[in-house]
Amino acid sequence: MSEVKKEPEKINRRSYLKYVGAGVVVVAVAGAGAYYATMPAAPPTTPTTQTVTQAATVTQASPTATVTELPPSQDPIHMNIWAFRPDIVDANSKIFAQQYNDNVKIELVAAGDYNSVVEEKLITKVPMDVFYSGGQYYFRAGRAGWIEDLNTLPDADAIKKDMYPNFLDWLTSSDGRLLGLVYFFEVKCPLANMDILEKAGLADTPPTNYEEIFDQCREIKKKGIVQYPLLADWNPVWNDGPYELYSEYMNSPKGGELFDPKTFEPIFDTNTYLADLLASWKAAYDDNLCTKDIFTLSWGDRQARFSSGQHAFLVCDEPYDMPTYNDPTRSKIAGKASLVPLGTGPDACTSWGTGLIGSYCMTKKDRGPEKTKRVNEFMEFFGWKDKDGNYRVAKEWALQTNLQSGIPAVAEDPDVVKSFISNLPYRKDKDYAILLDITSKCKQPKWFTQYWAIEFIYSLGTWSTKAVSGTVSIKDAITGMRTDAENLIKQYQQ
Amino acid sequence: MKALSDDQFAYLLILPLIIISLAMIVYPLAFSFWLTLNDVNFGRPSNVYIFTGFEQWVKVLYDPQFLSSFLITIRFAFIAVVVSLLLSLGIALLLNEPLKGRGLLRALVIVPWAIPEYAVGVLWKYLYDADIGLFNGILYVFHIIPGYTTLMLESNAVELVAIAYSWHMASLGVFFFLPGLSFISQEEYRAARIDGAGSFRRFWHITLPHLRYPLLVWLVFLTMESVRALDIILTMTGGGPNLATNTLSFIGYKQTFQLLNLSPGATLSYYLMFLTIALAMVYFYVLYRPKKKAD
Repeated sequence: MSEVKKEPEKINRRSYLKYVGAGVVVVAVAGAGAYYATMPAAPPTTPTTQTVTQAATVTQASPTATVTELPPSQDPIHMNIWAFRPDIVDANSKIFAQQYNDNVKIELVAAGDYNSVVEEKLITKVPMDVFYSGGQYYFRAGRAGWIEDLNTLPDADAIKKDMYPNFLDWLTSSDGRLLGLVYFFEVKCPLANMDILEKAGLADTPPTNYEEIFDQCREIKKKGIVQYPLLADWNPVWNDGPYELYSEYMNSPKGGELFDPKTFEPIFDTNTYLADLLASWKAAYDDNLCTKDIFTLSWGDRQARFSSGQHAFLVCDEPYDMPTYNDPTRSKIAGKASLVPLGTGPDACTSWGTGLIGSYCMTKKDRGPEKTKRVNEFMEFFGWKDKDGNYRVAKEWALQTNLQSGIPAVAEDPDVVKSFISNLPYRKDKDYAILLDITSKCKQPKWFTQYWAIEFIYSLGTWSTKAVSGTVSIKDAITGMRTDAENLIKQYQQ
Repeated sequence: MKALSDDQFAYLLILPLIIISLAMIVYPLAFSFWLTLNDVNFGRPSNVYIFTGFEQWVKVLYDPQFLSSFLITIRFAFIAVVVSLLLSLGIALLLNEPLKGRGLLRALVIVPWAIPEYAVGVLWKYLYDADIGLFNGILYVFHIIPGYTTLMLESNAVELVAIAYSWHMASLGVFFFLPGLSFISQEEYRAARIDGAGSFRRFWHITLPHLRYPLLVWLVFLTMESVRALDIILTMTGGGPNLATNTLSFIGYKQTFQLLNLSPGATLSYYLMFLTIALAMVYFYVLYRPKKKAD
């Protein structure tokens, strides 16, 4: 006898709704339970204490500060940072919390495109009070109305007096708003592998302009010392763009600004020095002074390559990388990495490189007077002085990480000077004097203040790559840059 | 109370999923479509969005960069799909054999897939490196090249990145094919051998037909992923050298997140979506044709 297949019982609407309702209740109860289970515990009756050790003597007091960690408030100050020594930020935020009876939440953008992530946060208005910014990005944020004018800080006048005047200029928008406080300063200038220059007999005849750098590379290559002596910064594809291009153009006695400093109309064309500059790049590329993948190298790639000892000049890099290049455990050129001094003469560059500031910026929002006061205190703590009147954070960055400060009192501190010199082992005091010389004379393009600066940098990088690789003529490349510049200005003037 | 029909019951069961999908897929799609119809400019805070209709769609389509990136994308996807397919099928066939340590090998083969794409890009970038790369080292040690040289040039950057990407994806493909291979009866192979069929004919007439549906799924998935690949390009080349690896995905990312041009970025994403759908339809047509009814 065959088995009668039983039809499964069909559910009716009432039963279905009953089960769904039960499911929703279960999920809601589970969710509420999870929420209450993860809520912060009730404030302890006695604060917990931990010891925060700082590597250098920041104040007159002992380097080991005992910090009392206060119970978290419901509305912490949110700070977004990139992934560079978050331990230093964390330690200082705890000291701030202790000094001001406050609490801070540090959020790390661990990898990838920091600026894009932060701009996304600014657009979507996620909780963020203070964040790192740099270069052209705080100008863009300022124009978009995303960041506060720090002239409203209680100690704004004193802070501005305490800064290097040119840095103050670089942090100020074209309508006079102070867009950030200095986290660190860098100048992207040429670095030299003196071991190779000594072998080539060029150690005592430093180049005075970028063409001479290329000529020395030719000589080094001809002598067979290294195959690719030049490590250029022609990279068009990362956010920073080809720093070498505006560095060379701005600092060459034949160059200058690409845009009128007042009207920001483009003043470059095929008859300006830009054509000669690109021609010299192309000649260097065609002469195989650098590897053919030069256009894909990021900052980290260039660091690794320079450390390998196979290149004579790293044309655009930051002196704060000197501890890396002079560390024998991380570099094959330890003790031989040096700065290139500024030259004299009619053909000498007026300075090397482009000055850039990494800044602390404050998001613009209605926080209410109490939170505004707290965030102002936090900004001043990190960007200027702590509650005891010490330049705590800036000095710690300088001592621990070789970051140059925007505050003369920190830069000229004997401990800081000693630390910087120790990271310049090749010529020590002389290299430090070169660093100060370059720092005091370096410039930043005025057009960085414009909203379209980042897009134009992309255009510069794209066209210069095409010109150097021979895809288009130099004349066409400059015409392309000019057209892009005019279109961008028109687009953003609306 | 009247019982629900099977269809009604099925729809009611998936109703929560439909609601979530509407929230997480349809809304972002609708918003991004709306972005394509506007000129978005954060440098104009008083009037960030200005309606422009389909102007952006036309502007992007006629941009010379768009055609160039479209062709680069097709080239990249083609190489990635072919190399991944060959690798994954080859490894699957090997792992289907009664090898010693097959279990351990099957566990290890997933490692390239398990590594995040970003890390794969960093790894392969250093493998190809002109100064310190392993490949240069191997070629130099075996006297194939007289000295270290630039391996990644404008002319071959797409291929080299595609190979790195294929290495990453192929191991997942192995697990698409292994179940299908294990279900093929050995009797069919024996019979074919008796009939004089060589290894290629056995593969073509026995193995491949059994892998038709896993192959379809894998090809669709792989093609979609290859067309949209971004992390590996960001880390290996940044779209270079000299825009050689500027795929649609990359320029869409660049426009949207780095240059804050949300409208062209969104438009590019839509064109990318259309390309992906078109390619999937081609696969379905070629591989999923229903068999003709017997007379």
